[in-house]
Amino acid sequence: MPSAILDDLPFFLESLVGGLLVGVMYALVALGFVIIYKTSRVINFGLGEFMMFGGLLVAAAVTNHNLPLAAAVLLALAVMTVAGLAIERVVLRPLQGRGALPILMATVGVGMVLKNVAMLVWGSSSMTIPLPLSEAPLELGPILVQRVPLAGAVVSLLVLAAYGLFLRTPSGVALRAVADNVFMAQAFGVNIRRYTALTWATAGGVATLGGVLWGNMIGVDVQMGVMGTKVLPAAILGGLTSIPGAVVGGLIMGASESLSAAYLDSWVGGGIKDLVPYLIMIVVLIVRPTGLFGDAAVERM
Amino acid sequence: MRLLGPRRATQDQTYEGVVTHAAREHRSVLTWLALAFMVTVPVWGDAPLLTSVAGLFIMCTSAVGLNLLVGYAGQASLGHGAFMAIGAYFAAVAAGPGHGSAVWILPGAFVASALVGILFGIPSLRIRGFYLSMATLGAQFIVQWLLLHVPPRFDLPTTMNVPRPAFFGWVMQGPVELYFLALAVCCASLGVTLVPLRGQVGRVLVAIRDREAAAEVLGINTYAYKLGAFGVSSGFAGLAGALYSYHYGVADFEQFTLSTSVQYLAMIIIGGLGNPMGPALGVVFVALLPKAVGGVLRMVVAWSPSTFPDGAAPQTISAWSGLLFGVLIIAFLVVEPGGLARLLSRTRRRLRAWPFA
Repeated sequence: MPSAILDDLPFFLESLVGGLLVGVMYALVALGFVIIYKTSRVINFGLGEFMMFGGLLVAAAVTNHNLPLAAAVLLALAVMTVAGLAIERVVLRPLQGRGALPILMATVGVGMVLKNVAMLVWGSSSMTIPLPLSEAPLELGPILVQRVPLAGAVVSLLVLAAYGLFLRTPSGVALRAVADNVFMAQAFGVNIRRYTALTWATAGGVATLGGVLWGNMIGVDVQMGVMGTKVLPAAILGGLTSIPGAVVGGLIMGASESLSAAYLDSWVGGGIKDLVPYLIMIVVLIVRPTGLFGDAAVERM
Repeated sequence: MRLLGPRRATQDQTYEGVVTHAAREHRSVLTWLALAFMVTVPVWGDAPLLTSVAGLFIMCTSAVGLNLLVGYAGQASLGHGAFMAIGAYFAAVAAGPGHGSAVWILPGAFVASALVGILFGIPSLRIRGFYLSMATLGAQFIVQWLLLHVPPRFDLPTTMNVPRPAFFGWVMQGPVELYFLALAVCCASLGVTLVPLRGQVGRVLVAIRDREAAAEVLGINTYAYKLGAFGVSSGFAGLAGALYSYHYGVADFEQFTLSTSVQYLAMIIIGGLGNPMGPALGVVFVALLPKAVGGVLRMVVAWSPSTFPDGAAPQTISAWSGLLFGVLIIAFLVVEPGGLARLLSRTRRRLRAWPFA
């Protein structure tokens, strides 16, 4: 295999760069998982449906109501932020402290509701989100890079950076305090409920951005919710409590999917891309459940 | 070992768990009535009804297994569909070109799925809660991938035909025979699990669910019990999967996806987690829900056809019932965590005391 890589370096680099670009977008969705898990120790299984709903809102606003893209995105962000707040208040708060299974199933139920509402409102057909970008790939030295994933990666990095900066503001510090030690934070006068609500609102917004970017690449329809389960392995690999972890996990998952598809597909008869993330996840869960950068405390939750 | 209290143990620590003598007699009458109803369905029902009721028995068999793992042992599993798929494919491959003998294929499906279940239950020794559910999610996708990619290696199709089951050379041809097979397996799995779960095994599993460290201190080998729960649970899933493949004549992995796993979880939550009757109630409820929604939608369309042009289309019905299903899952979790079983027992108690309290 090493010789195969050396023989065709541009092919290797193209696969790697393509995978990394997808990986940055995985990281954006993984951030949605991390934001919520960090403060409330909840994995939101409805996150994929959040993405789908936000993406469909944007697509419908642009194609059916002729709104400009920016206005549509702002509208969808507003709607999904409010939806995140409402879900936290109505579904999650009554279930606080009831263990993993009820909360897991409740978020699955939220996903089901979102999916079927989208089905009733927009039907099952796929919609596109047009971006003002040309189709021609960009030439960077010897390798070709698609523009749309590149734009997606840039936006993802901007969001990740913005969230990193937000954590340095006073509100962000309070948020980190809640994530670090709920009781201590409460003792110092932090309003826990407000910050839990804030994380759900933020996650709704981040998921919407993810939905727009992915929707632009692969089209958006009610089935997009499966992206959520696709990105979970990346979030686990990085460690569910770590934002740099989300980025690194996303990058590694993107690269390993792309490289395994490039080099192993011919051996196994295709489709290895869909297996690799879950294999990596199982190994991580057995060997190092906290992931690469997660808090040690989550290991035996 | 009687560390954990009296022998006649019920799952509830509350007053509702105490079954009075009168209530027990009452209940046994109901059980016999239900059994008589189920046995006589082939006499008065038509073939489609027979097939759908047999489907309920199969689903109930699988749900019994999941309830044991999730409701009693408290280990969240998102891979139940995959374990059913293993049973189905085992039945397809083991039968081969002939009819095979169901006498060993059904136990074989149980064992095969149980082994895979134990394998994917190993992470439960180290992790729990959300992290464990992630591992079982991985199991779901890995098994699904293998079923799609391994059979072609051996020149087998990915969707396999399954012959009718045979017992000692007697081939079950009609829907009536298959109905009674499903009924027998369902009753057997309910009966086989009921007694141990009411007794010591059930108490141990509940102890592990409620406070694992305390259970360990009491001298319970939590690892063995957890792996055992994974094994038996996925064994029942495999049994149900094999029955499914007999029922439809094919083993198709697309019938056993993540949404199948989620659906079974929803069933036992709606029915009543950790309640022996929970699976049966949940299965019936989940099966009747789309039919009820369809009926209501048809009534609405008949009332005003112009407002709802595609009101009763299959897609609309499935979307509305999916929406209602999601809402009900959340509502049960928030309002009535004991599920339908608790709701029924509470209603019964209130009715009994009705004019006076």
